[in-house]
Amino acid sequence: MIEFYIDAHSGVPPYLQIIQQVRRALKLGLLFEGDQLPTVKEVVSRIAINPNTVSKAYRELEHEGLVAARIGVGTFVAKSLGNDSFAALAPLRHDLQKWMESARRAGLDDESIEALVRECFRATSGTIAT
Amino acid sequence: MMWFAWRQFRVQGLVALALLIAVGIGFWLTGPGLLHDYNTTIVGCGARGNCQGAMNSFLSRDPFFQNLIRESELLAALIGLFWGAPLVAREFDTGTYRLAWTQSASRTRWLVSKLAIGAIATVITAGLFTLMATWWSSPLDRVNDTPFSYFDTRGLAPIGYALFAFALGAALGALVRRLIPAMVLTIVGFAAVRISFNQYVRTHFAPALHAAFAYSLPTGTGSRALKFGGSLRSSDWTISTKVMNSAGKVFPALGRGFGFQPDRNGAVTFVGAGRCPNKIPRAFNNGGASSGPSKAVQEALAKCVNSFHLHEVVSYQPAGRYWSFQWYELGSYVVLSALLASFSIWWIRRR
Amino acid sequence: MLSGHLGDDSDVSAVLETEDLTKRYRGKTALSNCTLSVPEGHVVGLVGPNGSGKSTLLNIASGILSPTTGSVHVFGAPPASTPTQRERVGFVAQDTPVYSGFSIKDHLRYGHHVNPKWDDELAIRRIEQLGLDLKQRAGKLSGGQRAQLALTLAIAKRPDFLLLDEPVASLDPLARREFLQILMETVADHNVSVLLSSHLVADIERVCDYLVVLVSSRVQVAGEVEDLLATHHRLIGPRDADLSESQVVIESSHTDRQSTLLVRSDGPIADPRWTVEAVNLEDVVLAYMGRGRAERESFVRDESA
Repeated sequence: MIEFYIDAHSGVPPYLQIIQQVRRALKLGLLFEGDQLPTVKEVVSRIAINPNTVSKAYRELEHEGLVAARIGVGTFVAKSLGNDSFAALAPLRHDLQKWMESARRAGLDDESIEALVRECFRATSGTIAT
Repeated sequence: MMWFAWRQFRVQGLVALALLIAVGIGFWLTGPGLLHDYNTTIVGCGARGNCQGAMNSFLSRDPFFQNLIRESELLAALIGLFWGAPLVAREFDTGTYRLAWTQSASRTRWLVSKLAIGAIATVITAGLFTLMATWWSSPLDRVNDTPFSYFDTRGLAPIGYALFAFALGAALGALVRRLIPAMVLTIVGFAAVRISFNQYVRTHFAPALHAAFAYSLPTGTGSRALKFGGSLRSSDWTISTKVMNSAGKVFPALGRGFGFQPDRNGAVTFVGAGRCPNKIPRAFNNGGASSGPSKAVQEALAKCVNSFHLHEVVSYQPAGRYWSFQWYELGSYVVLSALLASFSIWWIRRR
Repeated sequence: MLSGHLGDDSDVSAVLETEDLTKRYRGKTALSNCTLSVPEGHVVGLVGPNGSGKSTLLNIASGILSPTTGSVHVFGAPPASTPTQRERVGFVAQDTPVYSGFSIKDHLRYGHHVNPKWDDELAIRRIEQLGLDLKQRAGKLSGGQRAQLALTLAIAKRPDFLLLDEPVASLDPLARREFLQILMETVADHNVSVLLSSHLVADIERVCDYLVVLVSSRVQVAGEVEDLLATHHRLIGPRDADLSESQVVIESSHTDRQSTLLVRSDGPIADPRWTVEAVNLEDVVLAYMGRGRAERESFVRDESA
């Protein structure tokens, strides 16, 4: 089951953080169709946030069709995301890991690696239009 | 709520109970011996001819317990200090009143149950102590038969004092909301009320009786003893003595003693009353010396005193009123306590 | 100060409503002419500088203090005026007082005796969840545990409205988090309205969905947290750039050429000269607290002039 966390300093409203975390989990294949999301009470008793915030996030996700609430049972994932690219995920991760290792061997520290990734990310974003 | 008040009071109550038991054992161990001595040394002492000596040695028996009973007026003050004052003030000091006042049961019930538990414990504690003290000292009191001199530590009155001290402490705690000032005020207030009550109220529970005696120059050393006789007995409570002449004029200065003052012209003044009408022989000894003045001087002085036609009027409460006075005293202090408790409740509700 | 209100709460009933509420005691004015409304079904954060009257307001709402003048209503009636009224409101006082000589069990028994709606099962479950020993004396609890005990007493009373006066101010971060977890769990379970005063904006941001900023007894702003975040922006632009009518400047700072503003705006900022940035709740709170203080100072100046 997914565990949420709230970054208090991100400036992103807590309900949006939950939505983003569910989406990311769906994209990364950590959540599948039929998986249950934690109940509102479980979330608030774990991370001490307002229950209305969690309800609102779940409502939004439901609105987007990503989850479905079953009264008295809980909230379940209705649709998986990124199914198409999921098959490609494993080899890509493998490639990236190999690249990271070579970057380290070349003497790059974490900060430099991150900066490099960001720069490439910016340079290439938009080139694959969807 | 009663459970809560009792739970809060439990430790204090148990401490008091333990002390009472300890004192009770002491009384129980020494009381019968005292009674036995009374029966063997005092009863029938007249026949043996040494009554005064027997009484004196009997009255100095068990000084520890006699002192304990004499100082037991402090018991009420202690109850006021350690049960009364903290009752409400400590809850203000620790902030727990905010917990208590936001429960479904009202703060009135909170205070009423605390007052009730404290008052019950106070009556039981003071009642048991005064019962034991009265029983224990009864042989001594038969010898030293001046009941009003130990009025405050026997019978019913101590229950009233204790209840009053408790209610006073509680009310002051509610009023000033801090424990230490409440304790200080409790002691001061309790002492002030007790002293002024003794002085100004108790004497008026019933109209005082009066006894009159001719005022005459005493023979011998010149110190004046209280006079008894007629309806006035040594066990009665003498409240005041006034010296007045047959016209009803009071001589306040004479109430305390008397003296003679010769002036330059050879006349003598009876201090506080006036100039002697008769001639006093010169070189009289104005009291105190063992030899005393000469017979002629004494006669002249007596004649001078008699010329003022003075008599002493003693106001007193007869010993027979002792128990009715005990009830009045208890009643007065119970009423005062009830007023204080009502005030506390009103004050707490008002905020 | 009505301009500070956001959204339309007229359809939501208020759990707490005050009008011109004033409290003076011992010659000092602790709260003066405070008018505010707390909607039902929210976790409301009450923030403000020390001495703004938060604690006095909560003590009046819980029925501990009675107001000097003005009116106060909780569920439409004066606080603590009837048994039902007292049953419906739970209070966790500042410094979370408990009876130090009582064991935890004694406290639960006490709660049971003085509250007809007492939920013993809930209370015991909470204590077990906290890993506390029922026989332990409250005087030996840590600050966090004592706060949890006070919260348990207030929750097991099963109130409809829970008031908390700086409950976490003196707790370490872990104890604070645990306290808020239990509080939020209660809100999720029992649908209780909460009014929580705090000066820790990070906690407020996490647990509250409604915010009231109180400065010198005046409500500076009140509204749903989300609306506040959506309608407040930071604008950075040239000094001479102007704003449209619908934008209200809450806070501004200027250099020779540049202005930085915190504004409230219901619509988008169209003027391209302004760079628009999002704000977090702390920015909003600080801006309104600063504005409240400035108002008070100018008021004091006018008074003394």
